[in-house]
Amino acid sequence: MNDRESLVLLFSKFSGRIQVPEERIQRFCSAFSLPILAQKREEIIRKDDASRHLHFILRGTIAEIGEDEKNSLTVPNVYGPGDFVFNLQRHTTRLPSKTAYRCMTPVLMMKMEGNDLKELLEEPGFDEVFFVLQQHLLAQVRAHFLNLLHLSPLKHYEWLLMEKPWLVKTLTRNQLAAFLGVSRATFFRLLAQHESNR
Amino acid sequence: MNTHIFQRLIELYGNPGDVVDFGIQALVGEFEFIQHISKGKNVWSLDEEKPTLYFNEHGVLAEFSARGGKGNCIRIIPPNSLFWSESSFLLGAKTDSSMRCIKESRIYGISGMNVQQITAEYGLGYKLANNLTALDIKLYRSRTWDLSLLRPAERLKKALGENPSLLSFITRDELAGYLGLSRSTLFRVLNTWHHE
Repeated sequence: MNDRESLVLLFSKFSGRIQVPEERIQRFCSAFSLPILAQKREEIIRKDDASRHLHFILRGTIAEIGEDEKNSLTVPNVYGPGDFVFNLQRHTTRLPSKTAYRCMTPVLMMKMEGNDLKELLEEPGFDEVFFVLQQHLLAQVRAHFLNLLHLSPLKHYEWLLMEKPWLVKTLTRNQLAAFLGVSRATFFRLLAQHESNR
Repeated sequence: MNTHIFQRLIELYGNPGDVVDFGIQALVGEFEFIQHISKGKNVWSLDEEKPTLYFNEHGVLAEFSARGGKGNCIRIIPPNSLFWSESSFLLGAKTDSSMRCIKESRIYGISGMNVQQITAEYGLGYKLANNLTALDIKLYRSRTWDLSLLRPAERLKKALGENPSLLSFITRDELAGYLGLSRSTLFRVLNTWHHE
């Protein structure tokens, strides 16, 4: 099975009760490029970028990285294989991105140009496919928010070690602290506590 | 009532033309009175089928997400607004949260099946579902940003700025859960404010 076929399968699986016609999913997926390799540290969406390209990660890790007005680092989300990456700030507010989406490793991905996506969405029926895609995006954003709200930073860190070890391996300590919503000092205390619990 | 629901739907559809206007009118016409709900009662609870788009008339509601036996408030529904269960209305699964009334209200609603029929009949496509989902994504991103970057006092200040009467509607425990703070941290912040 090639990468595009895997993408079609993923869409078909997640379309669930909506039952999007197979040929529409095929057509949507065929608008993605062949796999391309982005280098480590490359930014596929830059700060102040208003682009609407859609990316699908096959291999590697991309982190969304930003700073607030006090220059505090924030990592609102991290994406791995099987995730879609989209300029969510532009999508939900029509404003340019206030974060950058940076490759933390070399990333193999497929890309749909913003204009191609726009053209597809103007055709009848493709808003259904986009709805399926949005469910993926919502699930990603919601899962991280609920982890932040429900888990203590230590439990959250331990959950990441179990469920997303690739994320822990690829982020720097500063970025991991920001992802967990704690200061660098708190993060180092948390690491010590984790070690002593083992 | 219909005028308010119409207004909320128009906001979701942007600047629609006449055809869409008729579709929205048809949607509004299908909203039915569901219940007069008093404080402490749930509009929905965990693991229910509630594929409904609701309208909250004049009260205040709070959605709770449960995990590990602890329920944390994830959003406040202000008066005059639409609300829905993401998992049930948008995804056709069972509810994975509960929606509790914190100030008595009147609740109206339209079933997901009716929404599908009317949007298909008027050619409205999935715009409503897409826009509701985008609103959810926006909310979670904003709350994630707050939980990651704001200090406890800043979180409280922002939450009260968005919902000025929050302190009078939810318990301190619920407020602490909403802000992602321990009860003791919340009380420290409130005491500091009191002494300032």
